[in-house]
Amino acid sequence: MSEIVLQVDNLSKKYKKVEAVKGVSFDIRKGNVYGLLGPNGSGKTTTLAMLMGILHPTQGSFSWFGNGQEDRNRLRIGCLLETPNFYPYLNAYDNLRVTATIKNMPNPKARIEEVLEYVDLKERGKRTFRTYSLGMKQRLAVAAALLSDPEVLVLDEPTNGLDPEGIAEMRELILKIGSEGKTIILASHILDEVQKICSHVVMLKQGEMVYNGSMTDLLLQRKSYKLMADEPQKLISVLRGLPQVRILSEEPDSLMVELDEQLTGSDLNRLVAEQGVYLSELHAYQKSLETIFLERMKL
Amino acid sequence: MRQIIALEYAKLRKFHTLKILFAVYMVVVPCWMYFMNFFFKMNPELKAIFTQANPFDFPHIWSFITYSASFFNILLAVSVVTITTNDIQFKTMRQNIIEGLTKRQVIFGKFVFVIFLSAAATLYTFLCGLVLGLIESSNMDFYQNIHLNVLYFIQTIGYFSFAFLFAILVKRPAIAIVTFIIYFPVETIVGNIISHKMYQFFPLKVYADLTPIPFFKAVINSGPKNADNDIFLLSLSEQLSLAGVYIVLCFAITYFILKRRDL
Repeated sequence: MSEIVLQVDNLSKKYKKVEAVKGVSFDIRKGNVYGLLGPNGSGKTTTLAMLMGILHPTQGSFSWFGNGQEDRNRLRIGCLLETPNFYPYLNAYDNLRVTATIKNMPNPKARIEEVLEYVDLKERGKRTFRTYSLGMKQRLAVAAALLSDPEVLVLDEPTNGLDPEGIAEMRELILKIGSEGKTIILASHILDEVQKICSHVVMLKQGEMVYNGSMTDLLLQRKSYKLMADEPQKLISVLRGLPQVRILSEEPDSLMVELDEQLTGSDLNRLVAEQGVYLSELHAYQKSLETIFLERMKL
Repeated sequence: MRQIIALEYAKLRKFHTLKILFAVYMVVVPCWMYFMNFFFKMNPELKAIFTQANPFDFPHIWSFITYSASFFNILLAVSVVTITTNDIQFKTMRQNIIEGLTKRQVIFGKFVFVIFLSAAATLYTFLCGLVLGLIESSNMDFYQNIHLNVLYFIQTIGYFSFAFLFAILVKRPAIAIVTFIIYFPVETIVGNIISHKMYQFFPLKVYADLTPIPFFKAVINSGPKNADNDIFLLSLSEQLSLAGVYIVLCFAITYFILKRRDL
């Protein structure tokens, strides 16, 4: 097990009558890419804002790098939270110089050039921030987050405003950073992107955590199977008698079912065979993260 | 300290509003001095009431120029309000904190800015007074009353820290500027309604009295003395102490607000 870089314990945030985050607890381990998932209003940004010291938790605590909530922890984190926030009258170079000064970087010039090149903003780096398109602003925010070569990267919807090419580039960028052993916390709506990038998932629904674990476990837990048998009606009646099996859909010549987490395809084959039904086909289907996410949100 | 200065410099070196407001200040202060000089020449009876000397003569020029410049502090105070409220509106203060700045450093950064702006305004006012005096004065006694420049420096810190408090409280640039400007007459009216004595302790009154109307005390003292027209005035040391307390209070309150506030 790699070392814990962030420990979140029973974190809650209440605004007058609305409880935005309800007792969320999870650990973030070094070198992994975590996806923070949830629909709008599920508490993703509120959670990240508390972790980045700009919102006060109503209850609970967190600890970065084992140092509690010390302000200096944030110097080791690169963060893009919600919208990119920069001085509109400064250009990209000057805005990054501000970030570099906060991060105590002694000679940031070369690094500023490097990150601007990285996000493809070097040519337009001399233009003021207010003239940038949303995509350019987003890329500058990523450049700022990467500037100090942080140990942890917190990215809240980093593909907002990017075109498909930009999204693909951002995905590559995040994968590349992840492969360098950096810890990444990524909040995103684009689940396809999260599935491709993240090794772990924390799922929030109306402020409550509904899943916390590895991406592999989540996807494996939710396998579905397509079944065919010579006697479909008998198969249906047998399956209805098995509490570990949930029928998802009934087609004229096949069935889609979902199994309990402990059950495998061969277990299913054995169970129906014991009831005198022999499967002519059994296909395992890996559900996408999007399907799993939507199912979890409906529960 | 060096980091905070570097940070404020990086943030403000291309902020044109500040440059424009300071340029306006640089123009209006000497212009106002010349206007006053011209006004007194045209109205010798008023000159007789306020001053018995040429306003450009040393040492009178120090009281004239610091008193005159104090009116235009509002221009620079507006720049403090604008810079602070922009930091809130653009969410750059929030971003600075996300990047690792502490709220204490945010306040300290603004304090450093206030000190630098006050020092720049004071230095300019001093140089203005010196140059105008050297050109126009009939004597070279410029050491006398030179301490008024120090009082002006404290006064500007007071005004600007007050402006900073307003900006943090109100958050929206236009509303903050308007309420800050409106506060000046409101304080005067409220203070005078409550009592003349109490009014002397009000923050802007304390700051303003650091550079009083030239020869004001002389005019008061030259009037007939009786119990009815005895005017309560704070001593300079009392004014300085109170100004210091108000400046510290302004920054302490802003720190307290920022510390508690979600950004």
